[in-house]
Amino acid sequence: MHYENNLKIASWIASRLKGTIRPEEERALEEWIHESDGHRLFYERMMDQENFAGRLDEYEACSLEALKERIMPLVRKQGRYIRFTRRIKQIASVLFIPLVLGGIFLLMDEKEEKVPIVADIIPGKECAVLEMADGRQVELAPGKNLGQLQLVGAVVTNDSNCLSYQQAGQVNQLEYNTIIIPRGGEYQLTLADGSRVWLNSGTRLRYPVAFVDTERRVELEGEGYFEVKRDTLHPFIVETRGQVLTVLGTSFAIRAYEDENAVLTTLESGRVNIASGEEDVELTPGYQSYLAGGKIVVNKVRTSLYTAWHKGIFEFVDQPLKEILRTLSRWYNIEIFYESSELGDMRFTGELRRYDNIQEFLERIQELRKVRFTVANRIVTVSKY
Amino acid sequence: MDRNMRYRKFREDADYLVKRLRDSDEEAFAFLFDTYGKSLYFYCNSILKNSAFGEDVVQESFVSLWERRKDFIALLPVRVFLYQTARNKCMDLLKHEQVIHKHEASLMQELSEDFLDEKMIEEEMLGEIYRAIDELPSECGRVFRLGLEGLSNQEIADTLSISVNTVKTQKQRAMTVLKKRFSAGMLLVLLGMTDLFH
Repeated sequence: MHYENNLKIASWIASRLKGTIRPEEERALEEWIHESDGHRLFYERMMDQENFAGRLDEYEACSLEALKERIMPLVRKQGRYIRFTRRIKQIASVLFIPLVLGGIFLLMDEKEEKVPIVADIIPGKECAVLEMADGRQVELAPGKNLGQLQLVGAVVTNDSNCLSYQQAGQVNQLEYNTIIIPRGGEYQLTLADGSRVWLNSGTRLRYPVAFVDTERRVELEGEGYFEVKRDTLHPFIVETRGQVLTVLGTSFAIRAYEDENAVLTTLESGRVNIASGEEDVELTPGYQSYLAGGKIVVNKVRTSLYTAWHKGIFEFVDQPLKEILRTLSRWYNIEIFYESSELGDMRFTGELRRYDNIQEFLERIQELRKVRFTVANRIVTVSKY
Repeated sequence: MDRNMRYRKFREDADYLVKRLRDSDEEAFAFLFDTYGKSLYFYCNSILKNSAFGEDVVQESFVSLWERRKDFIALLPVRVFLYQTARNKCMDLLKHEQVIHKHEASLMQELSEDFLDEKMIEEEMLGEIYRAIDELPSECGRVFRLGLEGLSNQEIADTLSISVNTVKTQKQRAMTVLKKRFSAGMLLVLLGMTDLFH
């Protein structure tokens, strides 16, 4: 028990120093200090200014990176294997019959030698271009100092996580910025009203640097995940190709790429209204609207398939290979070539962390012996196995 | 989403972190090492007085943690396990050393339970403070640190050549950050492809 106690006491002392200690913790700490002379002397010794500063210096000077480099490989090997097989069991229990055919190959293949797919394809990264109202363009990278950008009614900061606007003073005129995410990029944005937006590769968002009027209106092309700050007096409106979405406060994802027919809007929480021409629908959580050819169809979906990307994951369930690869091609900035077009219709299920290499993912599909991948100069060729 | 964000999620949600560890997520393990490694290392050093041995013990302790990762359902036992394992390994090493160098009998006596507990408290406390400083923006972190060391606002201003007002602002900023850490949800994990149709 004394180990747990020690950890508790350590955290109380740290909280007291940081000024975040709660009254009941403070009382317990005081009690402990006065429990014995030994405790009191130890506490005083620790609080001694010079000793404390010196010890912090030691922490700052110490690096365990080399040690970490030694430890991680010991862990890695076992990890991959276990995760892989567990995942198969999980899927197998849910989708028992269809898996038998595809899955058996998979399990038997483990002993066989894999043919590695050699490629120098790296995942995308956080990067974007910010276009100011006067047409000036600034490249964005996490934490990059933007200097003084003159904006009407707002200040903008770019820290390691996102680009954030803050309303500053009254304005009576809208000034627009546009953020452009290239293929192989992603970025996060906090708008002046506090709404957060995750932007995926190949996306543009045009938005006012500060909101005025009665509404908050932005324009999206590509894919974005929105967490809209609730404000019933000022509806939040997202315009995309052929569609106007109106919300008061909620989280949802929109996918509206130029090279895809449909505009997909997936609602995770709250309520949104979607209008297109004569059509007008209301979405409730867990539902997705599918707008194509001027018609809106609403379906119940597994929302994570359409939103997980903003958490760093690609999730595919029973999806045609051509859709999977189109999604991946934006992030990895690659081109896909099919030796025959029906190869793209084969369906697969799986997950991939965005910051993992694509090679392993391709190898996993290839192991199923349905298709084969060849990679050269950022072009992935899909052929029959 | 990058590593920083996943780390933030780990920091904010201990249950999630332990669940990821149980599910063999290397990154959760790396996070534990980055977060608790230094304190454990200094703790071992204070017992062993030898940094090469200290590193070995830290390595063995973390590798044992990985081997036992399925057993944990909360963070506190994980941290206790690391210290317990490290303490035992340190003791084994010392006993072994003592057999070789008989003359250092005094060493063991110094290592009373109280001494070991105090060291553990001290290193854990310093680790937590160090992480807090490290997570703050740089100037903010410097101001905060000098404040912790007991300097007055005027002294901090003089040391860093900034105004007293800036010191005050940075202190407030530090407090805001420390008191309310953002919440941005994240990360499951991956791997495994299955072809459902043939």
